[in-house]
Amino acid sequence: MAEFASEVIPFSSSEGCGDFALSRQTDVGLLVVVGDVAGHGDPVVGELANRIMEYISQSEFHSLSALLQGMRQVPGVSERGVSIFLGLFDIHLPLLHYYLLGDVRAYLTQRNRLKRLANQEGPLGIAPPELNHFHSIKAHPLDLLIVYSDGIQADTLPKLIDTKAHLNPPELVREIISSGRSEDDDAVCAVVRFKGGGSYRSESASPNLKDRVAHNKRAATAVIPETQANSETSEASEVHETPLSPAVPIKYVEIRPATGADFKLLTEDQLLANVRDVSQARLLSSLLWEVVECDSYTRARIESYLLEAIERGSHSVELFADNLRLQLQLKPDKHLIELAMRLFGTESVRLVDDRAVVSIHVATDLDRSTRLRLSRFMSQQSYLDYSDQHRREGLLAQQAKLAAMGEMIGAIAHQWRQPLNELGLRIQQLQLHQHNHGVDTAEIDQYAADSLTLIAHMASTIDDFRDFFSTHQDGEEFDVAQVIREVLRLQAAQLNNNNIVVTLDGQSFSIPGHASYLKQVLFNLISNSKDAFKERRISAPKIHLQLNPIDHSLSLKDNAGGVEPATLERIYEPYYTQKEHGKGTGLGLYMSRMLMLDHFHGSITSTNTDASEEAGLITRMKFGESGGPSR
Amino acid sequence: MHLKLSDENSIRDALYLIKQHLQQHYASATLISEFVTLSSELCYNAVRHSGQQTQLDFTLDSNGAELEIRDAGPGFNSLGERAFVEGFTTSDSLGLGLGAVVRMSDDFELETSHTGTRIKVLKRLSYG
Repeated sequence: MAEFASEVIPFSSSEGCGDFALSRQTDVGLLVVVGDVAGHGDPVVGELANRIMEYISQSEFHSLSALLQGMRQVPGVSERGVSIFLGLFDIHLPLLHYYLLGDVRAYLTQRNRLKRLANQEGPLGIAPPELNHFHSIKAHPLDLLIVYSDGIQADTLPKLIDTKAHLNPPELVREIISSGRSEDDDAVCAVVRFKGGGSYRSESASPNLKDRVAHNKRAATAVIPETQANSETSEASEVHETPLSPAVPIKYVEIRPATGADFKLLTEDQLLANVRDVSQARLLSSLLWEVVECDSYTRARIESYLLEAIERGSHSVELFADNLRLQLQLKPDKHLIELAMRLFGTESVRLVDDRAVVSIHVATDLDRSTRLRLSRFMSQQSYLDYSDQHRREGLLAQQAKLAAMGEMIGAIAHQWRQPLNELGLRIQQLQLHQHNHGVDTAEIDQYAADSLTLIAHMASTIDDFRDFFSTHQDGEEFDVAQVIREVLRLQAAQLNNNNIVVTLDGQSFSIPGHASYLKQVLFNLISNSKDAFKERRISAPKIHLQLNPIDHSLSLKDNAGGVEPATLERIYEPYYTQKEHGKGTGLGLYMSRMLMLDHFHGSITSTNTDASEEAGLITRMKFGESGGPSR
Repeated sequence: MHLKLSDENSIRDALYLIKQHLQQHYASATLISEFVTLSSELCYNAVRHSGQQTQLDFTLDSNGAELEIRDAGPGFNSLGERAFVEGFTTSDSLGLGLGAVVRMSDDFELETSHTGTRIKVLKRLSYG
């Protein structure tokens, strides 16, 4: 779990040395103490340091707070004051808890960034204990905790950490002391490398009282050559490995037996997924809510519980579902059982054979194909692949949206040009009338009424465009012809400007899903035709839309000349565009295809018109029967 | 985003705003769920224990989503690390406890004293 190393260098003699460091394993974690009794070179100081160490080593550990209070009671502490770092690497959580009082400095390297831990002014013994500040900070595997007294220059560590962070704790201790030690004070440095779990490993040049004194004597004689120091450290080292997971007997006093009308154990054919690690848990969470309905609070609880179960070492959680409930089956663990009871109620947890069974009532929509889709996702695709794909799709969607917004602004400009011109003319006309023969009240009223009508028209145009991408008001089903007419109305100004004739034929039909997604698809297709007409200077541009209620399809045919056969199959790829450089993003058709596939569960294909017809492109959209909001 | 929390309604509003922010930045559904869950836990704990106004700061940048909650309550200095013991929780919160908050966050810092408690959590953003 952690590797500890420390070294104390007295100012003059070990008897008068007030600096100390030690580590101690407790039931709840690794205790790390680094202290500096005010003063140096005085036997009283050395004795007080020894008494504090003795107290820490021998007292029963209840909590950091209690230990700190106890240290304050050690005779001499209140009178003299002790700067102290009192830390605990938590055995259950990746946390360092600590108190830091007085002139001791402490740092934590968090993922290679050096973070200075917050000091509280004034040493232990001066301020009343209730004023102490308690801290906790998350530690990550390989983080280093470095603590040293004011016998080492304050900026020593920030100067050398970039080049020395790779050293092991004993080496780093020696490096810090040799680089930054002040000659006029005692010095102590301790380094702990947090390993994140498993067992403690303690290696100290002064692990206990006797060693501290012995070591101080050695160090006081002279600067120890590095080779000698190494060998002495090695001799003084004490290494012990202790398993961290004490066997806690599990009691299931609250658990109801696996019987009763309201309990049903789901079986193999109702298995949805077998979750083995955190990435799979995250993946499942991403997919689950497509087919399981519950409120966001329950959703958060289920996701969190699943992650908790995996992170607490439950090697596999089997997730079952029928149409009334989700059921998690996992290895019994006292904490997880208690947590499930708190989150989902005591009734939700049963013990069946050697499995804890947690049932959560939800509404699900699980047909066979959905089950297969989920299990395929879980078995064939890693979470990273999945999230990477989603990230890319998210970015593409964002780019496509920006491009569509550009188109929109163009359309708004077209829609506004005519009323703006008219407003300008009216203002000039009013001014002219005023100069020529004056303006009476009736004329002003007429002018105001006409202008307000124009402004209202412009405002409604803006509202139309604002609602274009909104899925807010979409119902479960919508009429396809109505959506087509809405898109044509929005693009009317541009279509008229370019003399494009649009015709719509066939009987309409309804499909499930968001109307705004179909608007987006049609907007893209019509814009593409319009651009092709302009680029190829087609003299009589035409677009024909054909509805077919029998097979729920819609086709759009233009006479813009069609597409080269070689490029036809690529037009739905992302970033593929035939437009001039800078005029197309190559995302419109790609996003249209994504919407047709993912949202409408249908298809979209393009072919050139037959040789017998005018050259152009036909795009066929087919809507699936089970289309609906999946995005 | 800086908000003051005083009751359950203000917590719900804050959680809604946090969720909106994360959704706008294409955070994954799982990340949003975890961050809102741990925010909820911290907000309810702070408001319940401090009995006074709680300050919330939420930032979203390239480092990730960060939440800092400060209250001027009596703190839990004497309780210290035991506040993280599993099962130590309040009935008003989600019931996961501080331990789950630590596990769900990428960085976690807490300082508590007689003048109040400050908790800062960071969750790195990923997409998915």
